[in-house]
Amino acid sequence: MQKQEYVYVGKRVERPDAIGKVTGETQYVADMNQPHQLYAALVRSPHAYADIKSIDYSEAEAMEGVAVVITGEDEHTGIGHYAAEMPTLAYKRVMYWGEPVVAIAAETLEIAKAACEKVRVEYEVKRPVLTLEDSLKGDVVFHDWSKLNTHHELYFEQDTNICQHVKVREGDTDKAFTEADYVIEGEYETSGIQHVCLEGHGAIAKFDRDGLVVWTCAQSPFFMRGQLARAFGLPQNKVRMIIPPIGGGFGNKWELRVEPVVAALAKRTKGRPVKIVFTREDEFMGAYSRGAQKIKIKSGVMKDGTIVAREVYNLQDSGAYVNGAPRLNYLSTYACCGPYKIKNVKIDTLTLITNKLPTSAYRGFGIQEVSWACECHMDDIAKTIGLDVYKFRDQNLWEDGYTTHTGEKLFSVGIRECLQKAAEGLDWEEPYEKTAPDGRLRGRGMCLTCKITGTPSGSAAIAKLNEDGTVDLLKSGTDMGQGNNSVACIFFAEAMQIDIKKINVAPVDTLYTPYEKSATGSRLTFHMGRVLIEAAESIHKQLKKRMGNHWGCPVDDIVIEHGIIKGHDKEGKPTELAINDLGKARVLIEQDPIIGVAAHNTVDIWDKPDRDTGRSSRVSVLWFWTAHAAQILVDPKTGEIEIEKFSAAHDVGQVINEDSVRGQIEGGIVQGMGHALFEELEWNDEGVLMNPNMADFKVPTAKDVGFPMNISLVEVPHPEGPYGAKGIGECCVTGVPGAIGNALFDAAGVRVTKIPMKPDQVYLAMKEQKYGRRCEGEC
Amino acid sequence: MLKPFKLISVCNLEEAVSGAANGLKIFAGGTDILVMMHKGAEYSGLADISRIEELKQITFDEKDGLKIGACVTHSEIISNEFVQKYYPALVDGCSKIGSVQVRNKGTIGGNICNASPAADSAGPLLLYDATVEIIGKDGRREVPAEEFFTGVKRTVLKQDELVVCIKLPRITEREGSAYLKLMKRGAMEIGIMSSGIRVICDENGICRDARVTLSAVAVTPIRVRSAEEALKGGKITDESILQAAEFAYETAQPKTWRNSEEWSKDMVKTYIPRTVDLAVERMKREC
Repeated sequence: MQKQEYVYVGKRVERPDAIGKVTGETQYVADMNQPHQLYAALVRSPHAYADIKSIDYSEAEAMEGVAVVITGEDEHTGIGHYAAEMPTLAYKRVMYWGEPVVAIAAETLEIAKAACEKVRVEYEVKRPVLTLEDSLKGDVVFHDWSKLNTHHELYFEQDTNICQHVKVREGDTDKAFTEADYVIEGEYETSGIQHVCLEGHGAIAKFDRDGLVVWTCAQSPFFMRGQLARAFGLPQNKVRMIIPPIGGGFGNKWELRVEPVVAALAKRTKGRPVKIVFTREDEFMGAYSRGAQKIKIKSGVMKDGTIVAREVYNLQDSGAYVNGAPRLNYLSTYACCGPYKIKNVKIDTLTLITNKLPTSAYRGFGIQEVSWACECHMDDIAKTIGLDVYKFRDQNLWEDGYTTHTGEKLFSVGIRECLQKAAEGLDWEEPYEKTAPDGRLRGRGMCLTCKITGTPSGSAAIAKLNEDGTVDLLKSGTDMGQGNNSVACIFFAEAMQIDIKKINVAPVDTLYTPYEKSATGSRLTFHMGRVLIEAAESIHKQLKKRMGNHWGCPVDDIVIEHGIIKGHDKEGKPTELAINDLGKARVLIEQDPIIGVAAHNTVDIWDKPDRDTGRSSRVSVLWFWTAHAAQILVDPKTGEIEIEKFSAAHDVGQVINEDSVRGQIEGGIVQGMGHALFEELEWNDEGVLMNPNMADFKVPTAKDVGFPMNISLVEVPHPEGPYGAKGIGECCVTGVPGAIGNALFDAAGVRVTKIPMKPDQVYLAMKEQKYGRRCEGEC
Repeated sequence: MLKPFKLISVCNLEEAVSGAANGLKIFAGGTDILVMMHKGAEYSGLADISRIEELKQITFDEKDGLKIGACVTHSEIISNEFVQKYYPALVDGCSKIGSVQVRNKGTIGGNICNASPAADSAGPLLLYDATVEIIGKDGRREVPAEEFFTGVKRTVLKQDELVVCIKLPRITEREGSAYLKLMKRGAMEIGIMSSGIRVICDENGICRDARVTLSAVAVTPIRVRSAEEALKGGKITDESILQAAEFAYETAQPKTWRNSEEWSKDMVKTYIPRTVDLAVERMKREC
């Protein structure tokens, strides 16, 4: 594809939401109030696994100012994503510490909270299942899959805790292992973490004879609308989702969480709205989390570095119920061998139920975890055989025209350029001092990732041209801070050839804005971009007709170039009108309104994978390609890691807003660094979360992120993408732990196999390497 | 969620004492108390002492040394020229507390009365032989900082008592001190293990006196006298430092779920030599 000159695409464009956010004018759900509103509070389970023997809320209900008290007996409609079973409020049993058991709506939050303390719940406590291994053992089986109401196809295994088992089978790994020069195995782990969005969950629900209205910070308003309509037995046009600006999503706001409980309360208030806002502790106890993974990899490799076979066996934690984890399983399965040519592949990814906080999407959707395993494993192989980590990757890389182990012929593969650029960003070829003057050890590492996006999926956009020549854009991709509204304006302004300042983006409201699958999977730029361009094209078509009538010129003679509509009058004399002057020219007044409408779905290109082999000629509409590289210093006497330099190269297809894409990547590196070094949900033996707060769940502070970041924007255009664009949201975080882990391996020769690589773990690994185990205090 | 609470702003020490005697919780910056109240702690009321002028003073006298009022904030301590000049370990400690916001609100009196074994002002106070002036119904009394702490979140304060000020004697001519805090990230951290060192030498470089403190590895901040002895009596050498580190290591008994205890304990051996190095370097710079 020839590179084009654009007016807005690829430039640095100020975001329309920027000023409001820095001045504090932006109103989030927590800032909003509705007339006659009540406030909700929850009684949460103090146990990870228990039967509910009785609930006595008589005292709470009798309190002045308490309007409604409900329990699972009143509302246990399943609101889980993949399997409906997760109840609005715990029903007959609690499945994780913090599960909501009773909900109370009162005149003030203080009364609601005080009433919660008056509720007496009697439990019969049972031994929770907390590890993936124990869940796999299956001594307790939590769900009867055959009876579950599954909203999506689920590859469960009956009479086990396995809710999803995705397989890939290609070639003959057993045979290939016997023929390989080396067979190398490794086991790698990632911890459970929480998203820690700046804005916690919050919602207001109003339920009256007109239906249900919910104000909420949602990444997928239409999906949620469907779930709520089903849960409350309403037609979809009686459920309205209004989405104010969102303060961070990262997957945590993909699925229903606070919405059903306020809806259930509001249903019993004779029309009074009910509001809930999660505290930080609520977020840790009762939002969603990212599940732990335990990944075994075995590779057959030839002396020359050719990878001939790979087996991956991955256990993933779904938590107590079945939400987005099975989908995460599926996507991570396609990424877990990395962007490498391997002829014989066997993958089994199992998603398991445990008595923990439900897990779901978290920026990267399982790809950071499998990349961590795969890329540590790549360096382990290189070290064993004595290969250069760069060349070993390079020689096995996927490229255009290659058919993958799942049968997909690739195109638009930017991974090699990413690898080159990421290495350049760290002066990879330059020698470096292995030991710093202060005795710390220096090392470098890299991590490549590939990721698909959920396919098929649909998008739509409506562009209304106003009489004064301005435009209102209606689309339902929510802006969570990722800059989607800015990207929307750029696409539309470029395609319509109109001044970007004339464009206004309408707030997302399912009553008015058209369907959008979700703001997830790094998909919006690609999918929304396409429909916005089509909507602009539709407006151009209508404008040609309008001007044809106006000038008396045949439509076919009219062209639109560089923002100018050109034609001729009846006599053939050239006429023209700038699109930016449509209002002034008064050609839109008292005429049929010009509205551009476009819709699109990728169902036509998708080849549903075979259940037994994972084969699909096209599993996704696009692949994201990423290379991360880190240079670190590790203190062998403390285990502390300091990042000296970080280099990130992303194939974004085409940059849309350079400021935004760089901001996304910088933020992603910091977030990924938190996953690599600090963040972990820590549960005790009773299944109680030990660190549900910002003091003990450590996210990076400004003091931790002073290192330079070299960011390379690789542009290998996608032929089906809007102006060739792909997307960026998730892959900014995916390679960070792998790059740091491999840098540590390079620096100190120790392989820490689990993230986060906390200093105590790094130190103990180095101590063990140096002295062997069990020499505490002596060495 | 914070429940409604009563806060009484007291005007003078007499009111504060009678408030404390009547069960009010003494309240200054609130950086610990409000956290505890968020977690459910309930008090009959709070007596806010942060407007009492006497408690807000920080003064230095060539003869008597430094006097820090209980309500002096960590930020004020860090930026005080005398503290910077003579008591650098106190700057080390106070500058590692929480964040800028916490240091702007939190006070030294609050930090020691909260009596966390990890309190970052406490180790340095032990280094400098500080005494704590206390006022109560029976008048004023002074307690050495080392005796002030009696356990995790426990002090010698009786119900009617509060801290008025902390006194740090004038330092000697040839000495160096430092305090290092082990942290898992760059800010907003409760110390995992912190070490304090103060060495006092004669003109021949013989170490005449020493203080060695550890924080967060016992129920209170502690002095390690065996380590002090190891440093005293000769020049400070690699051997004497290692010996001090060894004694300190043996004394440390970290108890935590937050990280490996083996690591916390081993870090004493890493940190004591580093802290000595910094203290000695500072002494050389001064002399």
